[in-house]
Amino acid sequence: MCGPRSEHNERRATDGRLASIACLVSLYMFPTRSFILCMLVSSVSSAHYMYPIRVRFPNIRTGLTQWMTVGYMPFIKPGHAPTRADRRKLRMQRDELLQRCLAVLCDRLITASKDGFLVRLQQQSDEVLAVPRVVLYAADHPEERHVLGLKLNGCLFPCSQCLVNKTEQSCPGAVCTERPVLYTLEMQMEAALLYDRGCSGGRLNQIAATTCALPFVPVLGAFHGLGTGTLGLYKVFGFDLLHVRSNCSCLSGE
Amino acid sequence: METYDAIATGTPMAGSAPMDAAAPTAATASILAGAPVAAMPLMSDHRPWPCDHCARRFRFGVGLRQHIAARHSSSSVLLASTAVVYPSVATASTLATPDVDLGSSTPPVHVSDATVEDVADTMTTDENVAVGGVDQLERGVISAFMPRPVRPVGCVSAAIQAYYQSKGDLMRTGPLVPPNRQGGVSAFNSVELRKFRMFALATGGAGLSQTARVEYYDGVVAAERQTRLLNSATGGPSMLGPMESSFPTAAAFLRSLKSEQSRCLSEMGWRVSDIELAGRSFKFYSRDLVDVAREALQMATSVVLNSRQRFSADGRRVLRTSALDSDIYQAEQADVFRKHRHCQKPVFALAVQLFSDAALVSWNGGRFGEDCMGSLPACAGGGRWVGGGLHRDGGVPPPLMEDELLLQRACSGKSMPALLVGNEDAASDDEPPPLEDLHVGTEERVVWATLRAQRASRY
Repeated sequence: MCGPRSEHNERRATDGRLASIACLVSLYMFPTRSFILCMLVSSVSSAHYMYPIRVRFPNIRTGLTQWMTVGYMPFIKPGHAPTRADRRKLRMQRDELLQRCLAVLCDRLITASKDGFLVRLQQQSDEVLAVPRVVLYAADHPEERHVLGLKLNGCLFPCSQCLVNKTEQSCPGAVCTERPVLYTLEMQMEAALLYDRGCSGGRLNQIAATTCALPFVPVLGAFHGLGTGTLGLYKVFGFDLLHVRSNCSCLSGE
Repeated sequence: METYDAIATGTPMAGSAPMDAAAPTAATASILAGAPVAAMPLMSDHRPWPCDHCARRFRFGVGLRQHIAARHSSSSVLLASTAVVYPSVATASTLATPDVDLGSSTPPVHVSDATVEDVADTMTTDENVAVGGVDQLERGVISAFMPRPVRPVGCVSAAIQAYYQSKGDLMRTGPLVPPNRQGGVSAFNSVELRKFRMFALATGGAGLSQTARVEYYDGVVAAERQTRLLNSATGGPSMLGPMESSFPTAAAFLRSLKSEQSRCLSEMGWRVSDIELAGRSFKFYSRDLVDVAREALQMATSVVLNSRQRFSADGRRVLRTSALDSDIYQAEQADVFRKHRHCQKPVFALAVQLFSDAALVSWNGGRFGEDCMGSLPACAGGGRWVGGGLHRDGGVPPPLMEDELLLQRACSGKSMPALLVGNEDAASDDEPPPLEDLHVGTEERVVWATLRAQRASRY
């Protein structure tokens, strides 16, 4: 978002997985509409659209090395709302649903990210303490903003990693100060509490203008290592090969 | 769960301030606890934000801050910022637990044991800066209009986890398979039967339909019977085939498949959660990530327990070839080793990568079959948007095999060699392709023109 040579992209390239496609990060991709997999599950009362969430453990060299499906998230179809306020409410519900699904999915993992869990490996005679830490959330930019609880548009700071102003984001040498993790999380926490009570719209607007935050606090911030320690909450996002391949194949068709 | 209970009910924890003491604090605690409005103790005039310097009350904290800045800015530094500290202290009463890590050696502070000044005194310099977002000494100077976060005393990550636990979704989570259908014995107890099972349940991703399963059973049984007739004609053994001997009828085969699904789902630990949102209930199907990780680790024959940063031969360049020698993993590993340095057992940082199909989360509600727009400033001669392929979804028929081959051929040029490979190592072991290589060759243009023509004729 900040230009091809900005600090933003350099930080993204610090992940070894992304280093080889660092030149692709400078592409301004925006898939306006794409479906990869959509399950239609018919229940007794209604039908829900769902999409899977997968997990992978790079420490495992031989064994279950592929992506494993660990959840199917419900999806609220957008549209069909008569007024703008209804559409906004629908968007808020989608974001809240996403966060709550992630919270259910990751609750024990969050606890384990601090304390670890004992496991017995085949290659080790004794038990070892495994401390899980999230090192990658593969997502495109819109999903990244949704997962982080940040506004997708209509905000001053469209970059998730730094606080570059939107009027300077394409300028070379734009000042990119790192987005403060703890400050943003605390503001989002306050906004979430206020939003749940349905009060203080002015304060919510103030928080939204300052941090581009929606009134949701990201579940990923509860992970140790993301919301504590190295504070890598805004550094774990990256493209996955599926998206890059799909989108770049479109570009090469021009 | 102590934290959850405190948040959900707004009841002060043991050792915290009683509800009738420190009225502003209690009022704010109720606000933060998400208690209904009627349960708030200070709602006589429906203005829960009182000023400590005069008798005025305010409906919102912002108004109170503006009032203090305008009317009482000459008061002492701490008194001028009481409106800021109140939420922090109130949150401390609900969120401070023995598990909460302050990030320093300072123990958690409970409201009943300390006044506002005591809270400030017990904090280190860094925390003084953190409370209210400003330094204590500068509170009277900095404008009260600056947004300051509600600072829960303790680790913000613990507060986030407690916040989502207070939603009660975990309470409404149960096993996907009812207990009375768990733990059955599999009827597919031979290699042939397991292959039948795999074909019936995994073909096409979701397996065969009920009708197709019956047809599949009939086909297999017919083949077995024909084989038995041939064997009897040639003098060979005449015995029932594996399918017919195990499942006399198609209904028995279907029932066994059904129980097999239940058995597998229960063994894998699939759960279902009812997420109540705006009067609607959503089903969320999931597995426990810790169980998944434990199972994957126990089945693995080779696990990397310690990864080190690698350098090039001249020692001037850091080599990053996979997720395990990336900077973020190295930092996390160092953090894990530091925090668990007193652990008696071997410790390692388990890297977790998450991926959800972003297309659905990012869906903006557009119509089916829109173009994928992309801007290629480096190789397309500027920041113009270019449109290319069509994305597919359930409403659009899947592409022909020729389309897939054309797509692969278009992508398999030397411009993007790594992207075609489905694993991470193959993609990251290569050097990034130079920008010049991203230009499309003549052959690829021909392929793409053909592909576009095919798609245009179809849609």
